[in-house]
Amino acid sequence: MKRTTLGEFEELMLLLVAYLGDEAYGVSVYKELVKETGRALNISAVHVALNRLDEKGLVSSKYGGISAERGGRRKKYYSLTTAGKTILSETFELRKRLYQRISFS
Amino acid sequence: MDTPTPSRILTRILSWFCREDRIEEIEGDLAELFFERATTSNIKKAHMFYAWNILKAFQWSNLKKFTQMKTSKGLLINYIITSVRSLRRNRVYALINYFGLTLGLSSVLFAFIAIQYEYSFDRFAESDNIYRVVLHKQDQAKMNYSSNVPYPMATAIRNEIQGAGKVTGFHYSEMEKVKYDNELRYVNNVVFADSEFFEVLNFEVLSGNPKRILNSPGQALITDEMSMVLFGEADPIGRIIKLADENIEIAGVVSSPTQTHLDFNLIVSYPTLSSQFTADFDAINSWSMVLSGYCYLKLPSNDNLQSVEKRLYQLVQKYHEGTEKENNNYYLQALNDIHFNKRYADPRISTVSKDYLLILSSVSLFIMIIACINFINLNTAMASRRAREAGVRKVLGARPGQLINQFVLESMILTLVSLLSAMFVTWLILPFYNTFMNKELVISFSDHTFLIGSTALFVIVSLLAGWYPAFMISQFKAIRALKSEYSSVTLKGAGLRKFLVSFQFVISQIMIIGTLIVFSQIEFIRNKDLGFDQDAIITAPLFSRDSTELRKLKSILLQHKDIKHVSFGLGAPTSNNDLGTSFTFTNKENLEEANIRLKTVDNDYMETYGLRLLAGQWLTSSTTWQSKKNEFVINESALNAMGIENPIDVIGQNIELGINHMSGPIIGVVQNFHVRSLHEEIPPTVMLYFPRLHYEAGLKISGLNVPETLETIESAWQSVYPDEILQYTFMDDLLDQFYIQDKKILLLFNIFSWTSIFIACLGLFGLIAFTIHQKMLEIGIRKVFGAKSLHIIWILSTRLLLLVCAATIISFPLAFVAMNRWLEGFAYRVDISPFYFILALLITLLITVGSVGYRAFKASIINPIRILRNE
Repeated sequence: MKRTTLGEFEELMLLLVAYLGDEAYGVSVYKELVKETGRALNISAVHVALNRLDEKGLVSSKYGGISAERGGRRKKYYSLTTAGKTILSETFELRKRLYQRISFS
Repeated sequence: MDTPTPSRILTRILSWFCREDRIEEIEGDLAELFFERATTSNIKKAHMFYAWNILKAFQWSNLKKFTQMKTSKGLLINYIITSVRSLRRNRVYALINYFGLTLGLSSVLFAFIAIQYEYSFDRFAESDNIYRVVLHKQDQAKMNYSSNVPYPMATAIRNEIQGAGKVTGFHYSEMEKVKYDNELRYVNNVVFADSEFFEVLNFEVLSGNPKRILNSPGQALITDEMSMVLFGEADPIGRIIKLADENIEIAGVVSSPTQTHLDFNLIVSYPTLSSQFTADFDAINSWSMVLSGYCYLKLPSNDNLQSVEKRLYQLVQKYHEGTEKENNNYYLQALNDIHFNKRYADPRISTVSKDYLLILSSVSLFIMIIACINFINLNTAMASRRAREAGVRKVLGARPGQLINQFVLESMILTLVSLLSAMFVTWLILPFYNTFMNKELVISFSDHTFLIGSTALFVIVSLLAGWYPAFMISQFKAIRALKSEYSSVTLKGAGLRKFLVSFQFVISQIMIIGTLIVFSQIEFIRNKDLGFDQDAIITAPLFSRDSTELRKLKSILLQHKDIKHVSFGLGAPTSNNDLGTSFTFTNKENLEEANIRLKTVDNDYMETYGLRLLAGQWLTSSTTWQSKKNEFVINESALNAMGIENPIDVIGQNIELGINHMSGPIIGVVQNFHVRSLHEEIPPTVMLYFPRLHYEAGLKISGLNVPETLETIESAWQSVYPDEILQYTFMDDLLDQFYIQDKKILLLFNIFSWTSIFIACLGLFGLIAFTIHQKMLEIGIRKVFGAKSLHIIWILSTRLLLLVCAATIISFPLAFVAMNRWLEGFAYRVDISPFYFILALLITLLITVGSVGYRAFKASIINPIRILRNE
């Protein structure tokens, strides 16, 4: 498999999807993201990023049930794939290694 | 309370651009956010937020992938090849479509350029803020409109109305005598303008300080073109010309105005203006005399419009006297309106009515629609020929969308070729239109609007014409198409074709009725008794009002045997030369006032023009040459205005004219003659001897030895006015000028309606040819069973003839309403009789039979063996 690199925003997405577990879909990821980072973002950025991760095979998606508060549209739930978990932990390992070499004085 | 829902339209927009596999997620998430917003914040904000989110969802990766657009290059080439092949195979039909589209596109392009031209008139800096002061003058009968205002108007506005911005007043002279280097010329369109002229109307000044020049008496600016005429290549600055009796120094150069209602060759400073330029009337300081003064202003802001108009009313109260206080009022006419508004126009200014432009654009659109209908009809009728191709493509995996693209592409190829030809055709016809209508249209391929317009036209026409047939073919079921189950008989679309064909008939019939009525109205005008003789009359200008000179001229002219009568006056009976004034008369012992047109005449006027006397007598030579007392002859309209029925009763009654307070008895009444064109009612008119206003001679000639007679006239003028150039006119030509615009419109109308009928015929011809081709078998069988040729023709054409008749239900009322409106522009007009409608129906029937008949006839005489042999 071609090695994929992870952008900063994508990494955040993966982390949030992982954190939210069964409840990871567009709006919840968006809200969590805004809450944690305080960035002024639009939900379309989240959609684009999640779909890109989906295409890269780092997350998988499935539709949930119909609920009234969404105008009859289903939620699209995301979850981490094995590849997603791997790349996330690889990134984490890399960061950790590098951080440990730095001495913050 | 209803629960708020996100806007449907926005959601629709989202689904329009968004990839299908993403819509569900995005729409759902956005809806969720919307509902949350709606409960926590207010609904309006929620809607705004929703709209913003939809907008933000417009991301490249979210966009629909135009799979159809991803046609490979090879496939595209294949499309083009098959398109060209099919066009070639159906050569006749392709040519019909090509001709139709070319003509249709040419007419639309032409109308586009013509309209763009008319709208490019009077483009000055801040055009929208520039206004012209116009005069509304009420009399008992009607409102009179004029763009001429009293000369002191500009100064009064400047000094007394705040917020009127820049104001300029000027005198406009149609013609002045200019002498330079001992050579005498007539210079048209001379403006005497005050110093703010260029600040209101920013004509381009090439040299000189216009403000200073227009403030100094005896100075002027000249246009570059006029400078070429007068001085050649030499520098005009500092040269002295003689204008009438004044010496004028040229101190500046202006570039010649183009595309403006205010054409000029010379701008003289306003202080130069003296009574010698205003026919010796002391009009320059008078509020009661309106000659050729104008006033334009540029408002600082259009918000001031109403307040300035209100203040103009106060000027009326302050400066006008007597009845003018109540009857006069001034308004501001927008500069942008001048080119299109006939109401205030002088006869010398050619305005273009927006109605004309509307007619032009709708007629050209109709032609375009007719051409598109041909395309749709022929292609849906022939769809079966392409069924097999469509079937094969479908089997090989083509989607309906791809098929649509392919067939639209085919129509695009044809449209593109037609568009290029149409541009060429338009380029060819523009010079003819320009000379004919006296305009300066150009086709400019670098003009943005033109390019955008043609591109839009290209797209619209190819989709309009090509989409439906393409859609129809794309819906074929592959298996049925391959089994040849689609033939034109089983195909749908016959109903649509019938509808479209009747629509074509509706348009053609309206155009034919229109042409017929316009034609007969113009014939009516030309043949209408104008109330005087117009044959063998020559008019020529007089250059002085000196009585000895005039008497000398008359005696020289009358010596010639072919010159029957000579008369002097303000102008011919029908001409623009008359004055407006008021007159007072006693009606049942009450003093009343009415407006009246004034024509100055002499004792020979009646005989020269053949006016018909109803009562009393004409002015005699004893009254005219010697006496100082006034005597009046009036026309029937004036009689009516006075409320008197029998012309005898008015003889001897005293009236007083508003102009110079001239009073005297009425000595005669003449039968009404047309004072203005037949667009206008005959106004009350008074004729009197007033040699100060003798500006034109009328000569009745025998009509024999015309060249010799003309020579005599020229030499007579030469001997009395050695310094002048004679320009004579035949009365017929003069009268023709009144209707020249109508005649030209008639011709244009003719061209357009025949073009549309021609295209419609082409379409019919193609359609019938195809139908017959499809029905050959039926015809053969019928013939075998003994059907007569006539019967076959009848079967083939009845349906179409029925459609022609059905079309009248719509075309007749529409044509009636439209033509009624056009005729309202004439005070004297023909009645709209059923005759025109019946004739139009007959013509369309005839045309249909003509285009169908030949093919039907050929089909009907065919030997059935030849058709049935193969079965």
